[in-house]
Formats: sequence, C-alpha cells, structure tokens
Amino acid sequence: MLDIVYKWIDERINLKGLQNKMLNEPIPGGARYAYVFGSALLFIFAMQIVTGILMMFYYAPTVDHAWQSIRYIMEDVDYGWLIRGIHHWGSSAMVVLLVVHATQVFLWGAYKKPREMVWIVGLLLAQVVIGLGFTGYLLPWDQKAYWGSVVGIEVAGVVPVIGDFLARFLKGGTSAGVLTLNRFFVIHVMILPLSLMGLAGLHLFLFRKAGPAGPYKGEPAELERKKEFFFPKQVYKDSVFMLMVFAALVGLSYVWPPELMSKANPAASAFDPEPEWYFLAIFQLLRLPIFAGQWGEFVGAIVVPGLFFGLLFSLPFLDTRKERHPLKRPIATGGLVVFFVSMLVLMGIAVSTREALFHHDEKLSALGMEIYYTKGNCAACHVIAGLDEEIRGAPGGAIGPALTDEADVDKRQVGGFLEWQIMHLKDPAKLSPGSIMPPAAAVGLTENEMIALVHFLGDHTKGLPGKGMEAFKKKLETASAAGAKP
Amino acid sequence: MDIQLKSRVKCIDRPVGEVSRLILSQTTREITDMVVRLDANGREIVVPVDGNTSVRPGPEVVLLYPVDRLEGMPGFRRGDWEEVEVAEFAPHLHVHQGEVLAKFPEAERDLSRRRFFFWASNAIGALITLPLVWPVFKYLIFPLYKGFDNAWVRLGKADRLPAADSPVLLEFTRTPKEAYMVNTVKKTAWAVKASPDLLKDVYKGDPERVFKEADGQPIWENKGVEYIVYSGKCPHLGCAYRWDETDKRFICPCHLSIFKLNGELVSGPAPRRLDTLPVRLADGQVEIIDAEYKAGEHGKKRIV
Repeated sequence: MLDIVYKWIDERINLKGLQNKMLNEPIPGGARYAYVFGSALLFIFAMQIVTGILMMFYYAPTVDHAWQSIRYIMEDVDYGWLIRGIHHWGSSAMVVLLVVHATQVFLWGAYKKPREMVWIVGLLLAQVVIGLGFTGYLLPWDQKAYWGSVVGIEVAGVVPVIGDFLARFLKGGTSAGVLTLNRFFVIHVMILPLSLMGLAGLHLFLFRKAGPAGPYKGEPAELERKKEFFFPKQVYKDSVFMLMVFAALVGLSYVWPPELMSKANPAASAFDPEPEWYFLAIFQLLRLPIFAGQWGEFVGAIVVPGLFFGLLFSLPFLDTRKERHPLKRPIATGGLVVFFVSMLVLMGIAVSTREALFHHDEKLSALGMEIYYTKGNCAACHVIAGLDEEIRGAPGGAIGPALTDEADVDKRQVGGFLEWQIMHLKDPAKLSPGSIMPPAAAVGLTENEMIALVHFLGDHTKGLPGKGMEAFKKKLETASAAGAKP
Repeated sequence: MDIQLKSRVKCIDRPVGEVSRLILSQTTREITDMVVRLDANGREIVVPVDGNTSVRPGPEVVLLYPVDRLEGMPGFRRGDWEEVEVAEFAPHLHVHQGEVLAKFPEAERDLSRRRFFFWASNAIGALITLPLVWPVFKYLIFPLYKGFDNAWVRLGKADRLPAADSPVLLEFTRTPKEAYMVNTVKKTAWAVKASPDLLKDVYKGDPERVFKEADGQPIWENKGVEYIVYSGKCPHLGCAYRWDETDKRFICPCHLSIFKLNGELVSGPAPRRLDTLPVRLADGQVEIIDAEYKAGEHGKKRIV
C-alpha cells in the first residue's frame, strides 16, 4: 500500500531523486559520533516546539493567570510535569549542545573557507536560542521569572541613546507588567521560533552546499576512500544520541521537575534575582567593580559580550590559514581555553556568592529547634510534618501555615531567606498583611534566638540538626516529665 | 587551465587517446583523476591528475612520462563510480552533468548493512515517540471528562412564580472553577408552577423523573414537588427557546421546534422532548441541579 503511494508520488515529483539528494550526502572519512551534535540540536528544537505547543493548550499569557495556569499544568493536568519538564530541561540542553557544537566547529577549524557562511548563520542561531531562553524565563510569572527578566530588561536599558527606547519596547511601557508578559510571549512563541526555523533551514542549506568538513587530519585520498553517505550510518548514530538526549530530558524532568516559585511580586524587596544558569557568568561580570556605574554596566553587559560575538563573527576572516588541526592553531585553541576557564570561574563565584547568603550551621539549627518547640512555642500554630510527631508526639497546630517545606520556598533558593525571615519574625503583619502571628518581641525572642530559629527553618528538611536531635529529644522529655510532676 | 573532455592525451613519446570523463574527490572538491579512452583498443583507464599532468592549448593534456607507465593504471569500471551534481561540487570546473564522476562509497554497497542501520534508526525513533503517545494523549484529554456538579442552585423564591401552568424564564449565575480560574456564567431555565394534571402529564416516564450519576447511581427523583424546570437549551442544537403565550407553547427560533407546555415535541427537528431538571423546594426557594444534556440525540444523555 505504502509502496503504491510512494510510486504514485515518485512518478510525479521524482521523490526518489529528492530522497537521494537529501540522504546521499557524502561524509569524508565516514560516519562518526563526533558529528551528532547538530542533529541533536535540531531534535531538541523539535521537542521544544512540540512541548511548547502542548503547554499553550493550558497556558494563559496574562499577569493575572499565567502563574495559576502553570501551576495547573504542573499540579493538575496529567503528565503536565513531563511536558513542562522536557521544555524546561530542553532549553538548558539546547544551550549545552550549542556550546558543544560551536566548540567542536571551532576546534576542528570547520568555520574556515568555504564554510564561513555556515558559521555566521550558526552564530545568529545561537543568539536566537539565547533570546528564547531569556523570553521563556518570564512566562511562568513567578518571582524568579519576574526578577530575572526585570534585571535583563534593565541591562537593555543601559545601551546609550537607544537603551531607553529598547527597554520601553520590551516592557511595553515604563514598567514590567501586563504588556511585558504579552510581548515576551509573542517573541517567545512566534517571532523567535519562526526566526529559528528560517535560520536553521538556511544553516542546513549552506552546510549541504559547502559539504561536511570531515576530520581535521588525515590524507584527503584516504578520507575520500573511507567516505560514507549520511544515510544510513550517520542517521543511526544521530538517532542513538537523540535517544540519549531524550532519556536525559525525561529523567531530569522526573527527578527534578521544573519549579514554580511564588507568584511574581514586584514589592518583594528581599528577593535576590538571579537569571538562568547560562546567564550567570555575565550576571557575575556585572558585579565586578570595574563594571560599576552607568558606563561600566554598559561595557560589562553590552560591550564585552558584543565584542565577544563580534570576534566570533569575524573569526573566519581573521583566521584564513588553511590549517585545521587544533594543536597547530595555538592562538585559537588557547583563546578557547581562556574563555571556558573565565566562564567557569565567573559562574563559580556567582554560585558561591549565592550559597554565602545563607550558610548552614548545625549548632545554630539545634538551638533554633529548641526555641521552636519550647520558648517560641511555634508548634502551637504551625506544622512541620514528620518532625512534630517525632519530637512532641503530635502534629503541630493548624492556625498558621505549615512550615514543612519552608526551607524549599523561593526566598531560600536565591538567598535573602535569612533577611526575609528575620523581618517577618519581627513584624509578621508587615510582610504578610492580615497575619495574626505575634511579633518576636511579644514572645521575648532576642535577635540571636531569631537567627537560630531561621537557621532551623532553613535546615530541617535536610535532616539537620542531625546528631543534636537525640540529645535534644531527651532534654525535652525530662523537661516535660519535670513539668508534669508538680 | 582545466582539463576538458575530449582533450587529446599525449605521453612524452606519443599520443595515447582522449579524455572521456573526469573524476572528482568529494573531500577536496578537486579533479583527482581523468578517464582516458585509449586509441589503440578503446579501453578506458583511470589516470591520476597530478604534477606529471600538463594542460596545453589545443586543448591537449600532456603526461610527462612514457606510454609504458599507462599499463600499470587501473581500468575504468562504471559501476565503481557515481554521477555527481556538478553545480553542487565544482562550480569552478566548467564541466557539465554526467562528465564528472565520484567514487561510490565502498561501505554503501553492502545492502544488508544499510538495511540494518535503517531499521535500527527506525526502532530508536519508535523508542522516542511511542513513550510520548500516552502521556500526550492523557495531557490533552485531562479536562474533557469531569464529574457532574450535583450542587443545588437557587432559581428564585417559589411565591414569586406566576399562577399555575404559566412558565417563566429564570436567570441564575454559576461560578464554576474552570481549570485554573473561577469563571462566572449566566444561565437560564424555564420554571413552571404546575397543576396536578400537568405534573402527571410531564412525569410520565423515568427519564423525566429520576436523575442519575454518570455511573448509573440515582441521585434524585422529582417526586412531591409541584414545580417543573426545563433546561433553557433546546434539545435540538442548544438554542435558547421562548414561550409563546398566545398559543401556549414553546418555540425555538433557530429551527422552529415547537414543544407543548408538558415538554412534548409538537413539530420541528428536535430529536426529543424538553429536558426536565432535578428540582426541589428548600426554605421557600426553588432549587435545581444545573444539569445539561447532549443536544441532537434521542436519548437524554447528561454531559454537565
């Protein structure tokens, strides 16, 4: 049946010829696993389109329902976690594979004549992917999304002359809100995906025109003798890698489903904004003193990345030697090493700074637990599932919100947890309007006791305070026994 | 100067034949060999194009070695080579389709190998797509089949209804939680304070009197209530129908279905009588269960 249909179409449009043209691309030296990254990128992009379209079945791009609709996808809709998970991890995977793909092309000198245009279009594609990551980050409209994007838009604002216009254009006005979400949405789901499709098509077309570069070493006659067609062996190798990527995306989604923090709150001053990991290096760059002030910021956020991309764009014109072996191109290879080391250092500093905003202290946590269950009497109104039963033999009260997952809440993830909690303990009604929780002073907590209490709250889900637990329970038992006697 | 087809080929001692084809390396995109048809016996041999090859006007290709050397060169077998698209490979070579050949990859001759990789790739494709079918299907149909909402909804005070057997259109507001937000929907139903005769007339059969859950469990029976409430939607295609006071009948403006006060179809395309709703009297209020039935079917099939 299928044969008949194939023949029918073939008779009319020479399907066979088209197929041969697509599949019989000769690869010098034969198929290799080294060549799978471009196809894998195309594969993830296809997955992003599928999962993105699926999410649009439920997502509402409005500030009053975006967050609720994502929560609906994550918590109610069957397999919503999987669809959003693949999309979420897919975006990171795309950046990772993009870096791998570009690094390989760079190291193998595959950007050289006659493949300059392939390289340039590839760099444009990289920018579209970065743009997709940036615009998609805002769409869930949670704290992380809102603050990450606000910072990103402000970065656009420091460009001289057109910066103000650019920021306004992105925001759809003077402040980030209703129209910002609409704009980011349409850029994320229409403009950039369409650009990506067009550019990816051009990238492939130019690639096929110029042909695969093949290995950077080896006798041409030998490579010609060993050549294989793209189909079937390279297709097979590509699909093996795609399967691995797919399994990784599903696995990551299952183990670490993408989080949804609390809803965006422009008033949350204690929130420490942080962009997606692939922007961390430039984020950290902006913290350096030399990039302080209006001009420093412009240099750090626009000029430095601009020069970097400018260098990449002009690379095939600066480096016109025919040599492709990475070890025989010390400047290029050395430059790449310097680039990766500095990226990793900047990211490392950014991550360690984040950790420093809240560090674990077992002693403080143990003291905090004591205060929680005795002096502070917090368990009268709050539940910490599991721990309550173990320590006081009964669950805590239900008057206040449960604190079981307090350590996981958004404030914790990006620092500012300590500051926020202390402020909240001092004057609960100020940070949570309508709260009937008594201020710390009314319970007689000192500043140090509050700090200990917050360390306990930040640590208890991690199984801390560990060894101190047994001793503490004993102490509590004797105390209650003593209390019961008189 | 490029080697051209039909160029005469000479060795240093004497002419040997003419160029019949050119061989291209797909790796370097340069002409690496030429096929020479020998004058002596018409045999074709593959001769490398290298430093010993010189092209002169004429056009003429001179091989800078004696003719004996040609004897060691391999014969040309058409099956080892494939035609390549000139434009794709060698725009600088000034040759035409069919003149340029490239080596057919040795590995691709093995058909069983090709078949193996073909099926292996397909199997992997299936491993990627098939596990997604069920999750995606479940994801898409999630909100489609929700349980029924059997809450009682107030229509209005019973003593406000007009005298017996005159229907009145009552509006009520529902605020269902739809997916991630609460929606406000205005709906209508026709309520009648019914005379005993009318009651008897309407509640003749089970479908009008007994209401069931999706699983068949009865949830309500319209018994001992002197009110009748009809769903505001015409059972034909869901239009809102009206009461014609002069002729004492319901008329649907869309396709002119006409129903009696007892809900029976008089004429028109509607497949069944008007849908009665579960009704009760509580605290002097007429209350209904806001059920909806599938339009266009003979049976009364609840969907909301």
